Amino acid sequence: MTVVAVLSMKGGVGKSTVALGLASAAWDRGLRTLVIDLDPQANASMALDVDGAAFTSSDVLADARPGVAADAVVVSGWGDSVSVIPAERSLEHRNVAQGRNSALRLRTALATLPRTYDLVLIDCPPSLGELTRNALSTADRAIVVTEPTHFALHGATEALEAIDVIAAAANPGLRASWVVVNRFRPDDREHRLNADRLAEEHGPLVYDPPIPECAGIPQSQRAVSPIHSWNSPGSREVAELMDDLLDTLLPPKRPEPRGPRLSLRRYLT
Amino acid sequence: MTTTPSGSTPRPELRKAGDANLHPSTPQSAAGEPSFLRKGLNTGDSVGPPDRDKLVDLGVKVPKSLRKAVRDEAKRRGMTVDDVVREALRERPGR
Repeated sequence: MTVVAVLSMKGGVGKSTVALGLASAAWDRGLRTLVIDLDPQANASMALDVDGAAFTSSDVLADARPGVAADAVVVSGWGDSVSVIPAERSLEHRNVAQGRNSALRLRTALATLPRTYDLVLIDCPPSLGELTRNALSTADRAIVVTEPTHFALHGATEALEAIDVIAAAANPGLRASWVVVNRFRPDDREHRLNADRLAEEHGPLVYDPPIPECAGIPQSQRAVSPIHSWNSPGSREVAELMDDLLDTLLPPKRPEPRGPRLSLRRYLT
Repeated sequence: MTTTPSGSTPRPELRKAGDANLHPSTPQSAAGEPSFLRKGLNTGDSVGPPDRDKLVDLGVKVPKSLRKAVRDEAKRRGMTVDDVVREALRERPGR
């Protein structure tokens, strides 16, 4: 089981796109996956074809008693292997501190639920408020998403600092896995300059290659389909990138168990 | 109470948040009672160890009408006046 928070301080850089891309890669492999939408814009919930769910992540955080999150899990429109705790607009109310141990409410409400999945993805809102703090207090890996633009790079640095703060204060098991550059245009000089700057600042944390701008991504999201099922050259390239990114997040595969051993006893009797 | 898929551990059932139909841009004053009044045994706020801080007296003069309102609130919720005031103070930012 791996719990990955996908975050950025700046909006519109593609957090949900990366979270959905990873969910798509997991869907393609048949991994049991739970997407927790913690963004009040609920874009991931929309793209996963969840509508009219009885409970949302807002209810989970408002209640926060151990294990209640299981009641908010619904199967996505992608199929049985991908489940969702959807978001709704009123989730914005939960972005401020609430009661004791406010940043641990999600972790408490999930209790042992993540153990029933191979992968849990938490899509964060574009802020470092209480929702993101809850995500980081629950996750064991964090991916920071950025665009190769000046302001977005600044937001990526802020997000990495937030990961360090939460790791030191509330979740020692948390670590930043990658800074993923999204919507990269190799023919844009400004994009190349900013990508170089990011590599200078954060070195091996920057995931290489960047995710290129691709028309297939918004098309597949509008069609509520995984990017892996979208048949265009650009979307296939993105799907392969997401496969590689997912490989870096999952624990290494154990060797295949051998077939039944020969038993000498069978031949001796 | 609900059981987990394995059927072993009972757990509480999730409740709908009281502000689910409230638009996020609604001003606090129009949102009804303050959030601390909605908390209690039915949410995770009851989870966690009790306060281990030493209790101290806080002598504060308040209007009579406020004392009456707090007493009424305490009576309605089956709490002590001290508990209601303590909850209210915990809501202060930077506590």
